[in-house]
Amino acid sequence: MPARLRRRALLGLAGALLARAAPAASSSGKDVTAEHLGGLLDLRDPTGRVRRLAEFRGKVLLLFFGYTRCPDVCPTTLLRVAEAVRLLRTDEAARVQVLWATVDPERDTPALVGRYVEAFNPAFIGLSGSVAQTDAVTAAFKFRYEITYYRSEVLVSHSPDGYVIDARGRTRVRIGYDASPEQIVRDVRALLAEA
Amino acid sequence: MDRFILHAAAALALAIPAAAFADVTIEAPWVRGVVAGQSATGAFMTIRSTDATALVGVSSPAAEALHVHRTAMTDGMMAMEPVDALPVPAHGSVALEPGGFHVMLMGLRTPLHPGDKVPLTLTFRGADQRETSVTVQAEVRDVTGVPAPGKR
Repeated sequence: MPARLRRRALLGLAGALLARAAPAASSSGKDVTAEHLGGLLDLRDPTGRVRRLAEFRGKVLLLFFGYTRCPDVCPTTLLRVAEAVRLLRTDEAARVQVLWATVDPERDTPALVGRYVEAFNPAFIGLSGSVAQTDAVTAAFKFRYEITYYRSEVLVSHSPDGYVIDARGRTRVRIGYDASPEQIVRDVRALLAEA
Repeated sequence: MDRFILHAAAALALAIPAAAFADVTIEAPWVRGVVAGQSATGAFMTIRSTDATALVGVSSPAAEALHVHRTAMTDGMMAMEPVDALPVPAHGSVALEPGGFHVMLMGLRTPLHPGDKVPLTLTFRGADQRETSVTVQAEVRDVTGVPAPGKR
């Protein structure tokens, strides 16, 4: 893409992000391009097939992490993302892929992860890997999580953030927990316009 | 006061049965549904009491263990903190809703389908240290938490 066009697209994205920044400080929609996050996936889908970032070139990705026993944060986030996808036009949605990976693969089987995310939208892809793979991917995205044990319970705490990855595989936006479906759509549309 | 009226109006509008025992009323209890193989989920409701009290225990045949949790952001991470006693102020209420408090149901024993009713026995301890229990029938919703349209 010519440098002139790319700069204009980036300014458009910055403008869209700034427009949403008022009034209270919001953690949603932060431009993280300069942090060079991610760049790694290599997690398995429910069929066992390894999915890599490269195969999604040309699509804008929405990537989230969580666990299926999460009664609150994860379902709320997935519901908002599902609503965001519903707001997209059909031709836009065809160029977007939602990915959700478990940070608790010892208790979340690949099949369970698939059923869980597909309950929010059958096109969402649920991913899982070994603990080492999970750590590698979350570290690449600077996504923090912690598994602790309290009496007989296994508690998982985790960052509420999600990521928007552009059609070239670069991580561009970090989405906060308070992001509305409309804000997510704006971020996605800005990146779709670049491609 | 606004909140009380809001809850009363909501209860009336949706014709959701409220269970009352002594001075405690439980409104609109619901359980987030699950997909096959999912071992835990959360229950939500509004608890209202004329006297100051605290929710100190929950049990149900539907799960091995139940515990009140609070969703809270700590050190940049969302975490669930166990709450051993959830206070309900005198002439007040506490909402267990997504983003705040919930009852965690762990080790689900039976499949939960939207529309099913799950019995939850809530134990309260009053200022006099006496414990009373109330059992409510919580309605299972879809895993997304969206109530079924037209459902009571």
